[in-house]
Formats: sequence, structure tokens, C-alpha cells
Amino acid sequence: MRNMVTVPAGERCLPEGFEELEEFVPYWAVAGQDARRYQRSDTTMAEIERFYHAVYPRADAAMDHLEKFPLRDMPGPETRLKRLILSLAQASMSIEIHGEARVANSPWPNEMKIITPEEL
Amino acid sequence: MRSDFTEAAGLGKGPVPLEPYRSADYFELERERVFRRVWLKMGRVEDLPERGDYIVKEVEICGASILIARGADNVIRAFHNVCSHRGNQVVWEEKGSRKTMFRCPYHNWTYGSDGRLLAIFDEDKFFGVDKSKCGLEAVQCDVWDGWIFINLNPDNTVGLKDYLGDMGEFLSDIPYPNPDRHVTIQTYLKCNWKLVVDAFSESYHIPILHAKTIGPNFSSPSDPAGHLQNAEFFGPHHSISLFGNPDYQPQEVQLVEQLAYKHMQSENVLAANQSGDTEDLRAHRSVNPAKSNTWSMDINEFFPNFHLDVAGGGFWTHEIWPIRPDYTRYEMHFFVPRPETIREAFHQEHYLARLADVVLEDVANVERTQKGIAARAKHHMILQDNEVLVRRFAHLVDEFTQAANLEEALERCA
Repeated sequence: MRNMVTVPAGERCLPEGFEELEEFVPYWAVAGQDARRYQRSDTTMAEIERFYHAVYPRADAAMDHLEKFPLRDMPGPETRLKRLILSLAQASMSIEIHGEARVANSPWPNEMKIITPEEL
Repeated sequence: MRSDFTEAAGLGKGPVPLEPYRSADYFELERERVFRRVWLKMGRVEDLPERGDYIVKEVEICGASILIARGADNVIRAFHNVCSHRGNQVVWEEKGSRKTMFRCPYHNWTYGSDGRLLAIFDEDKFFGVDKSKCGLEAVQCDVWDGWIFINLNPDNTVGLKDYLGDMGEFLSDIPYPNPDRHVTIQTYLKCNWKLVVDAFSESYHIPILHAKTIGPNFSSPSDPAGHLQNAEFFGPHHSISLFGNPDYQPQEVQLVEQLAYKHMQSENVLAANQSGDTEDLRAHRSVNPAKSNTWSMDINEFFPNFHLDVAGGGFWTHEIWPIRPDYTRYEMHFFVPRPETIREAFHQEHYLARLADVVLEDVANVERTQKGIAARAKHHMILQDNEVLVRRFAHLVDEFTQAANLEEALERCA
């Protein structure tokens, strides 16, 4: 596994009310679209389903909460929640479009890179 | 609506040879007679907004590394990124900002942003170097509508405006949204570069290969093959308009897609922007030039390797850079707004995640096609009318490889 998120000692993992999503933080709350895409591509459909079905029901509420903060300057727990939510967009490709973890018959690992002007 | 596009392009209708996709000899002709002669797109003026900003671009097929810099006089210039001392590369990073000079990291030879050699470290020990003759080697460079092009032929006599010809007129003054912010999808492909050009030059494959990702947006029960809405031919360049399904809606089970688009008033899933922000784009005379009401996007192809695709909600580009006969660097740039809220960021993540998967479908596909062609089991491809650009591109490259110079190539393609 390339990426792993650690929560600084003494800090909340996620904002109050979103504790049930904390188990997904180490794998899914990674910084940057390329890393989130890697995570979704490098796991199993079962794991993607577990993540999707846990996070989707809370996504609207999470975004309502996150809208109170500047997108690029959130406290640690909100930053992790933001990245979890952005990972939901990645996971939805597998669940809502492909019906499998990755694009059918495509190579993995592959050389594709997504280069973004900033790492949200 | 026009049909018979192939006839309108003045092309035959017979099978098209596959040898150019697998021949090392043909690749040599492309190197010398296409890439060393034509104008090549390097970037946009917004990539180097301030004086002293610079970018470095590779043209692998010509073994060239090109430094493009905005001088203190605000002029954008291009140079070979090669030190006059012993040939090392002067700039080692891909871009930078506000530099008044470039210092070669090998022995500190120092150049101005206008390419002049300013200083030589320990100059006294040399044997009378004339610094005025040892600047960076200039490369012809010009800008059209914000796009920076270079020409690697030092003796080239065809200006950029004449090279673009009617294509430049056709597309001039498009009000590009977000020209200063793009996300890049980059990959290296084990295939001939022309297969990548072809992959993004027709819509016949979209309902099939991209059945799940974007197929439902580019075809409909009334037009299951998503036929071309228009085609225009300008010398070696050309433009087509693709069908769009005006009735596309996410399916009920696509909960996250619905959430991502809940706050978007957008043209279709290829829209990076809100519709209200792209009204002037859609009003341009050459965006959806046939003004079809079942339109999704235009593919504008600048010969040989730059595609400028414009949809109702924004634009993106393809660059296809040959490295070897069966190896290619491929880059897409999606020009996207700067998200300010989590909901905008969520939409953009969803938008780009889907496009990355579309690219992945094409990527795997062109490599399989290369294997098929390399097997030499088949010697021709059979093309239909909606694949007119594939046929025309093969024809254009052929004309270039037979021409004595760029002027003659342009005459042959007129």
C-alpha cells in the first residue's frame, strides 16, 4: 500500500458526529486526486463497496459541515473528512459505472498519472 | 445535416494501409519530414504569466528539450535547452517563475531570459570566447490565440499564421474558460503515436468501448452510433462535431453522480463549468459550428499532434508525442475552474475520475490495437464515413512524408 494517513497524537480523527467513519481514514483520507485514484485502483471491490456504503449516507451532511470552512484551510479533522468525501467520488466509479474495482481489461499497476495544480 | 464526409474531404473510400503504424522506416520519415518541419504546440501563455517565467518541454522524436521563457521585455522566446559550454542542459526543472537569468548547474555559465550569454565562470582561463556568439540556440516561436508554438527547422520560412491557415481563422478568439488552470493526465503507451491520434478522432467507438463511462452521453436510442454532426477540413488540420444525447440523466442508482451534479447547471458530463459561465463559449461561431441541437463537443485537430476539444461546458487538449515507432507519450490537459467549496471540489473530483477512466479504456485499447497490427496478419484497415479523420490523417501524414519541404506539404494538403 503506497499511502497511509496517520492522525497526530492528541487530535480528533474526524469532526464530532462522524466517528463511525474513522476506520476508513487511514486508507481513504489521502491527499491529492492521484493518490485517491491509486487507493481505489489498488484495493478490492469488496473494500470499495464497504467504504461507499458507509460514506455515501453521510456525504451530504459532511459537505454541509465542511462548507463552513475554507476549502484549503480546514482543521485536521475537517481536512481528513474532506479527503474521505473526495474519495467517495473515486469509489463511485467502481460502484456506479463499472461494477468492478477498475476499468475492465485495463492494466494495473499502470503508468497513468494525474498531475493537479494543488493537492486538496 | 451533412453526411458523405469522406467525399467532402476529397478522399477515396478504399482500405487504408497499416504499414505506417508498424514501420521503423516510416517513423524516420515522420521524424524528418513531419516533426522537424511543422509548428508544434508547446503550451499556453498563461503557463508563463510573469516576466522571467519559463517552462521546459520535450520533443522526444527530435531529441529536443525546449526552454520557453518570457523575457524582461515580456516577449516569449524558445531556445534549445543546451549550454554553449559542453552541451549540458541548462534548466533541469520543468518550470519556474521570475528568473532573471538561467545558470547552467554544471559550470555556472549564465544566460539571460532572452538567451544571451551573460557570464562565464572563471572566464580568464578560456581562450578568448566571444560571448555574443555563445547565447542559447534560438528556436522559432510564435503565439496564436494564446497557444505557444515552435518550429524546430532553423531554416523554416512558413510562419505560424500561414501554417494554421483557415483553421486559425476558423477558431480564432474562442473565449476559453479557465485557461490558467489545468489538470494533466499523462501516460506512456506501447503503441505508435498515430493510433493515439486516431483513438481521439472518431466517435464510432464511443458507444461500444466507453459503453459504461460516457457511451450514454454520446449516443441515444434515436442515434445508437452517435453520428458526426459536422466536419470541416482546413489544409492539414480539421474539425469534427460529435453527437450528444440531450436526454442523458444519471440512473437512479448513481447516487454519488447525482450528488456531484446536484449543484451544477451543466451542459453534460464533460462540463467542468456551470452553464452560466460558458454562454460566450457556446455562442462562438465555430463552437458547434453547425449549431446542431444534438451536439456534445468539437474535436479540432492541429496537424500533427495537438487536439483542442471544445464542449459546451469547457475545453481540454490532447498532445501525442512519438518516442519510438511503438512508444508514445500522451498528455491530456483539462482546463478546470479553481474550486472554492467542498461541493465544487467534489464535482471536479468526480468529473476527472470519470475522464481518467475513459482515458484508461482508450489506453488499454491502443496497446491491444498495436499488438494486432504488429502481428502482420492484416495489412489494411477498413474505415467508414464517421471515421473520416482517421482516413484523412493517414493521407495527410503520407503527403508530408513525400513532400520536399513544408511549403510543398501544405500545397499537397490544400
